[in-house]
Amino acid sequence: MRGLLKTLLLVDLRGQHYGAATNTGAGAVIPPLYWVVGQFLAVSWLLTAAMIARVDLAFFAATSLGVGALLVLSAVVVEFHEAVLDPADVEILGHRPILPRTYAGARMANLAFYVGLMTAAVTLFPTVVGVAEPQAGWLWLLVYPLAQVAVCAAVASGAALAWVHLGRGQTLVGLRTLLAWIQIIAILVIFYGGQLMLRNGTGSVERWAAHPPDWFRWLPTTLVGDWVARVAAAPTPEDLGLAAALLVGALAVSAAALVSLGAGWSAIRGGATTHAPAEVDDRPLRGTILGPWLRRLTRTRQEAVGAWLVLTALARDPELRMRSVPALATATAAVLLGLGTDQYGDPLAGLSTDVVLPLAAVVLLAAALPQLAHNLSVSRDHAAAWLLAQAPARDPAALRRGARRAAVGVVVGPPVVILGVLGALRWDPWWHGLLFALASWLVIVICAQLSFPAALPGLPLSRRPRRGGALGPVVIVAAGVGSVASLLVGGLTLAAPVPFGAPAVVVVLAVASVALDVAERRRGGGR
Amino acid sequence: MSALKARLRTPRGQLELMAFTFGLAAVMAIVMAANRPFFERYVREKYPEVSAETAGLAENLEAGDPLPQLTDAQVDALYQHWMSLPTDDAVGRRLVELHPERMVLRVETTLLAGSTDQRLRALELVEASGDARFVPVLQFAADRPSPQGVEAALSRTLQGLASEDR
Repeated sequence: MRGLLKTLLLVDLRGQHYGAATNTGAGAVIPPLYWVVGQFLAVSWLLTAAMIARVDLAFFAATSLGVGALLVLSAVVVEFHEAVLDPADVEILGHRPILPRTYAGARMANLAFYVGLMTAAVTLFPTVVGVAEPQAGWLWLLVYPLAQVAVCAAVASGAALAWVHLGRGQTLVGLRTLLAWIQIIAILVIFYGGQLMLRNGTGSVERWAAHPPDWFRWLPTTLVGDWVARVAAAPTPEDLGLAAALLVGALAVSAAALVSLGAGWSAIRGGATTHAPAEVDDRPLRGTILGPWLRRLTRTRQEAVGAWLVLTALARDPELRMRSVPALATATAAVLLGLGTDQYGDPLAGLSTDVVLPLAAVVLLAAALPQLAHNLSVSRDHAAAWLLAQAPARDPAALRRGARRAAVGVVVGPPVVILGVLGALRWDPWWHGLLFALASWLVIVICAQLSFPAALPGLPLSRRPRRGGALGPVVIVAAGVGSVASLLVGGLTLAAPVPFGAPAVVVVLAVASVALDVAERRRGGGR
Repeated sequence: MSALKARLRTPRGQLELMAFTFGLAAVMAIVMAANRPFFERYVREKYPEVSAETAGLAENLEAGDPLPQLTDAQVDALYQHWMSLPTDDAVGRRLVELHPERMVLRVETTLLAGSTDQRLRALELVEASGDARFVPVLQFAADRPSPQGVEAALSRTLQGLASEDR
């Protein structure tokens, strides 16, 4: 088992460098897994900094445990599921006399390596900072990490169980989509909740934390958090019983996952189809490359090929949709937050705190573009990209431009239309909504022109998906694009009070977009 | 530089990179834990400028003049007037008499999310009113961590209310 585990880990660690996920070529130094761990550390740091000196120890423990468990669960389901049971193993290991328990043990240890890294990332800040809270004793240093490890082991083992039993059918794809959305919305809630705590100065978030609603009190992680806070302050003999129950529960779920993994290995080695590659809809896409919609969306036939490929892949591949669409959830959440808290003000009516969320929605849409581009560079059917590479195309970069036009038009276009409609319904005069949507659209187009060459440098759908790739280094490009978008929408808002200021900004944005397009065409590009 | 890159490309190098990042994060966490007062400085309520209307209402309260029915926003503005400006105890006393539930809510919020000075000022309002309805709120606040200097004042105010109650 030790040899199998070592091989699995080495393959995983070496596999990080082939550049498919990093988009930076074979010379990439930083692996995607590192970026995942870095993001978890950053989220944990932000959450801890937002709560320090503002909430009591029980809420601190409950929130840290809950967010940590949610992040680990979603990462296991979204990114690291193949560490649990990879059908490709049958081709390499199927003929060897590997016992089910050996395979299950090695795979669980492989998963434990990833889960351990991620758990450490979400545990470090709450453990060290929490012990300095006035209500905590030195026992916190022992009890909190223990609780976090038990909770994360339980949720990761639960995910492994679900993976083995549900296979890779539509149910699990739906679950993964849901978890991906939850993960992003959780991060957004932390981000905006922290901002609210630091900036609004009304104490509403602190009041919520002091008197949380019933649904929060009965979350399993809240119950464990209460226990952690109680033990860290003054342990009692009854608390030892609860600790034992927690550990036994985590071990039971892990043992069940181990047994199921062994059974799953026997099943796929015996030719069971439960764990066959993801189901794809292989019906042909309606319309053709030269259909009226694609002709309007693109300018040349080569661009139309790129657009058709991307639209077909998005329609057929649920994993691609799952990886691409949740990035847009942040903008959705910003809009919902703005509408729910009555902070969806008119950015063209002048600066105020009420206009932050509609502007943030545009920035978040723009910041989602690099991840969208990155996801369109990978595909489970990447091996078929040789057809594109061998095609006698005069302008290979046109494929990428077509992919960009399709992605921006079909994926990002509808949210921009919704922004405009909401603005027209809520703002006075109504046409501010339409002008804002037009300006937002131009900002999105400019950001797409800037980000797609960086995040999708080669042919669309030509790279192999890698673990951690969807959460990987595109965040740096996203941060840059988000800054550009912030600058542009900030300029729009500042110019709006000046007579004809907003229309002038729209004209400037349109000219900049055309100039970038012309420059890209002249520059051309390789495959 | 190329030697470093080559090392980072090995599995051992990747693990070392992770270990270095965790070490850096641990140092950051220790710095955060050792500087709790730095974070406490940013815990405070923010109040808008006191308007002429609110100042007029506060004068009426101080003089004991009859007041129209106040909205929650006007009561909040008067509380913010109390918190921001030197105000006679009579204003606080009458404010609590007229709107006790709103004042209990506001004082509790300040004790949860206010700065040290704001929490002490809120306790002055409680002492000025001498109203026992504040006791549960003060006890709840006393069971939670407070900035330095507030705990003693909370305890003193609670004792004061208890002695007045007797």
